[in-house]
Amino acid sequence: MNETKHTTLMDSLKEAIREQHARMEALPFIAELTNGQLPLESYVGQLRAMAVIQSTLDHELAQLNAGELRTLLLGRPSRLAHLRKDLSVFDKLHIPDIEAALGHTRTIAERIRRYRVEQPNDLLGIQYVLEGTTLGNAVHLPDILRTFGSQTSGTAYYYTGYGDRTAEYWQEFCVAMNALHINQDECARLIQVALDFFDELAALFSTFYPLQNQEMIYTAGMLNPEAGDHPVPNDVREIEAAVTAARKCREEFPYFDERYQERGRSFAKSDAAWLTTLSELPGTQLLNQVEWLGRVLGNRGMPRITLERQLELLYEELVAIVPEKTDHYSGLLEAAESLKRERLHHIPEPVFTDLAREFHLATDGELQGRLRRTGDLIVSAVCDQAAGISEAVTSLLTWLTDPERFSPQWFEAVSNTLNKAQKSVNGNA
Amino acid sequence: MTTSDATQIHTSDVKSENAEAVSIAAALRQEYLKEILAGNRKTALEIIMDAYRGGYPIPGIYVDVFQEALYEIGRLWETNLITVADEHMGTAITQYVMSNLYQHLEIADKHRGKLVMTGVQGELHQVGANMVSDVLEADGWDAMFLGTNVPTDGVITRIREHKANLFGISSTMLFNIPKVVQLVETTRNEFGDSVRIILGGGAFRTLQKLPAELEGCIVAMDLREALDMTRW
Repeated sequence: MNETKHTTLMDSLKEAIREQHARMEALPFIAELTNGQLPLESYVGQLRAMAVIQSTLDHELAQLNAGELRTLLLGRPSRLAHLRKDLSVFDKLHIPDIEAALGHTRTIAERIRRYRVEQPNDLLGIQYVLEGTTLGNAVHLPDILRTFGSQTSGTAYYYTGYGDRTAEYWQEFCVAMNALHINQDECARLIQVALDFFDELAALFSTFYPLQNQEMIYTAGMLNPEAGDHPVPNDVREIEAAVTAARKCREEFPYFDERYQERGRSFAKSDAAWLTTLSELPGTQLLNQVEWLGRVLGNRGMPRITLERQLELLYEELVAIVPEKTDHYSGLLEAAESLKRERLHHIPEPVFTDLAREFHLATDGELQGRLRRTGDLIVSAVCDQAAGISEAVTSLLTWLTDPERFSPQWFEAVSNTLNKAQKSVNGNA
Repeated sequence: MTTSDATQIHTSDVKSENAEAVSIAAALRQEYLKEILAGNRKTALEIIMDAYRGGYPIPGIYVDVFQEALYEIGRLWETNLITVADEHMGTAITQYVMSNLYQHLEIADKHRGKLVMTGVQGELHQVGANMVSDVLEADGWDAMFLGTNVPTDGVITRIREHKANLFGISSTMLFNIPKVVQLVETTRNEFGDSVRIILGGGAFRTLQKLPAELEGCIVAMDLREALDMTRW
């Protein structure tokens, strides 16, 4: 047991952060939240920042040396999932980001990554603060519901925490932390990490409110907390077009939602938004960028026929919403055509369509529409592989041949289509 | 290694001319890559420090080991053989090892000029720019490394204050090339031909054609080229 003068680790942490905690509670953000005046941009800004921080921490927690504690934490309901649910309610509003908040969030995320490399158990200092936040959020849940509940159908998952089990989970965490075998120096280090994190959170929360002098910008993180820092359009109409196009593409290929779920939906939006910005570039550069994304996606189980369709759908949405820039967006359509030409170079029509159709018929109409166009995906993956995307087929088949999802008849159909497609490459049918 | 030895550093030394040297470099790189992908920070550092103490020149370690290992990490990520978390870890460990090695860096006697080095705004990968800065510093440049994602006006101020005659811009991600173009245009507007510009990073290795706006810049595909092209 780690006791310093009969004081447990959790007692030491609680005592150490007392002053910081009081300062956080005195921030204008909290005051406005309590009096029901907090602007929506501030609330959404907080959710987004915490989503980035939580997703970074979730990635790094797997490296903790403290096995039991790691198991405990990774076994809990995902706070990132709570944050995503809260954010999804405001998706359609396309609320811009607070630029100053982005810098602080990025700094915190980098620090978390550095801890994992230099001293993984430091992550427990971060986790302590976040677990404490979960507990403390319950105090402000009524304020959140009062201020924003009408817009969220009465939900606030992040502030609800673990619901009825919040107190129980906190106790479990306390017991696990107090059971750690750490010496006095390590204890002091954990406390310092928690203090530093509290200071950074205070600086971050200071950017959420007041907003008067804050620069508000559209960012990739607005659409997807895991998107990083790539460009997105400045025009909200273009963002709306991108989001719509992403949704339509996912509807054409339901495989996306089945496999990648909420995370995939988020990336589809942010990728579509980024693709929109490529229309600023001259032809060769635009194509270069599209080809790069095609390689990245193709190696991750997303055959490039989907990127081809995404570009076509994006063009359609953009010219419908921003018709005065129709010429400006033509490069996106040209990029789609270039991808199509390359695809059909490897397996030309009508062979491509025939193979996809055969698969459709062999799989009960791709399981009665639930996974429509999967045949296209398989044949497209073969084309991608022929084009040099080395993991194109493997990354797709990993999911399509999962015995927990699919029957032996399905496997047979996948195997047949794959073999025929591979034989068809470059007219070698 | 003495300072006078350091002044004799040529790209040929860095290149590891003979087959045995190439083989040693490859083995060292493989070992290092394995450890950074496994998250073994201490072992990774030991491998590098052993190599240095065994006589491997630091610029050579940068070129043969760090640079190539990070390119491989980029390739592994692009082909989805490692995750973005693995990529971050490999990069973070390399930065940690570099910071430990830096104190042993021997600086050449020759004074080549003043360099400001940065990653373009929006670029979160800074280790490449850091490597160029260190290697050029060892080669005699008075180098100021700004980190990455620095706002343009801050960069221009630093170039002016440092009285730089060489400005280096790094971009790992292809989607940041338009921002490189903007930064180059702003720099040229401010300083004209008095500041030469060197470009590098993964984005330029992937680029099929250099944008017209970047004609006239030095484009280095790797650290060796950065050294060669800045010895005028």
